Amino acid sequence: MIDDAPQPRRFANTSQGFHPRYVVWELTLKCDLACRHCGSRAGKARPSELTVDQCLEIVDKLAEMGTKELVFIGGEAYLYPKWLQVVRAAADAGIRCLMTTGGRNLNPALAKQAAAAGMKAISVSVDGMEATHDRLRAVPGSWKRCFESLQNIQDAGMVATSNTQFNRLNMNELEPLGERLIAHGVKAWQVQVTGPMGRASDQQDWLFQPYDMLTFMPRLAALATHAKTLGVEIQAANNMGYFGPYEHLLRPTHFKGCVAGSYVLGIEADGSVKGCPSLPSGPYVGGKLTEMSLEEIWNHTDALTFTRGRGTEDLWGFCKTCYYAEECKGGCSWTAHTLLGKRGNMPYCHHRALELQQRGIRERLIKVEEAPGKPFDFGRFEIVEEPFPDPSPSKP
Amino acid sequence: MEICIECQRHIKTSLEVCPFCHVAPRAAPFVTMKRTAIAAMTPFFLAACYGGPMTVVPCEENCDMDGDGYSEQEDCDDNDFWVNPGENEVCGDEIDNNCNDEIDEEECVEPEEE
Repeated sequence: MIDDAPQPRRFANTSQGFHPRYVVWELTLKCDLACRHCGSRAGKARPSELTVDQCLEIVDKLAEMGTKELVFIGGEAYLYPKWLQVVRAAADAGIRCLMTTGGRNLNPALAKQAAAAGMKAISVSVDGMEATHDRLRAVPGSWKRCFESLQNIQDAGMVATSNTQFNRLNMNELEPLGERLIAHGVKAWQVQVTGPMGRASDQQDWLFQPYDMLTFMPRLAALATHAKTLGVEIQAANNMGYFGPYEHLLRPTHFKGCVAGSYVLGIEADGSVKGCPSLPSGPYVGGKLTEMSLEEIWNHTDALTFTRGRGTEDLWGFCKTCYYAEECKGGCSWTAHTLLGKRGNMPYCHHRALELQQRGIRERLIKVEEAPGKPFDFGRFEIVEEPFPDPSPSKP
Repeated sequence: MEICIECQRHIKTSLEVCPFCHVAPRAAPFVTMKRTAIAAMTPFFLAACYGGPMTVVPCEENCDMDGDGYSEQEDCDDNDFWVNPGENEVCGDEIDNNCNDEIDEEECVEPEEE
């Protein structure tokens, strides 16, 4: 509940140090793109999005609970009315403000306004070379706008970074896209796999098969090594490729399990709170900020606390018996859950693909249930093991 | 974890034969995982989210190099995710796990069994 009710002064006193240090906030679901792989099925604003006054109260609460970094997303965050007022309030509260954008309309004036409000860095989502990106983003010309936005971000004095979802449409464009982004001055590039949520769930043929890790990860590691010599960091996102021989090249530290709800918080535009912005809403919303206090949601809902003190008890399938089980804890909760219906067994894993290859088998994902068609929804896939074809592991 | 210098895979301890390439322990065959010098790169980056993931951006101040939720100012070992003021002190490991300037103090908890 957004009110003035007395709250604990120091969050750490009541929660063993867990606090929402990193927050990702969907300000609005309204979007100026129409991405065919959009997990939130963004486009129109949610029916009851938070008012700016409610947002400002949440900013105060986040600062009080120890938030240090706030990433604004959407939809498209800059389409939220008075979004700069929210940015300014957060920056004034000492929170480092970042944004992720599709970049379609981040013009020079808007970039300057964002910088003036306190935005430190903006990551532009670029999903392949021009034809593929424009197809995925469903807006011709959107690729060119991405690079204009990267320039606008830098001209405004902010740090420009980028992120890309890779899948079977754009997996062969890894290297040229990386070179292009480096040439355009990005300082960091986060690479992830398209997760099977929202509209992406409707596109089974686009999704990686687990054995694609065998060919994709070496290429990514080679590119990351090259980029590092140019002062650019390429990192694997938390939903892919764990514990192969390139783990130390692609993550700051080896993957240590999902920390949704331990140090991370996601807020949806209507005030729904999750432990991670990517998690599907149905099973992972702990409550709404229009109905409950943030402390109550953070401290007392299972949807927010499931990673705290977590062992390996909820792992299953390959992950249950994995050498890295206690470190990895089944990988990304979001990707595992939206693929297989529950967390704890994550097929997009390099170590797993290598181990299975040694046994002469590989895994294929087959969709057995469609997603219902709502934001952050998901269908269900099953894993089928099949003989590993020799000698070309990447052919479908 | 440490990295096998032969196959570059992470292993639990340098005392074991690498389970992947089967290299036996030697005098110094394994290297402890060192954070790549992403000098000031925020290490905490989220799982991808629907066309808009958390950004990875250079960190200018209050960096949290190990991603444990505590900045280098608060954290007595900002290269170890499991060492920070929010952790329990673990008995017998000769590490100040909870950053209170004491090692294995009386209130420590027994380590979890493997």
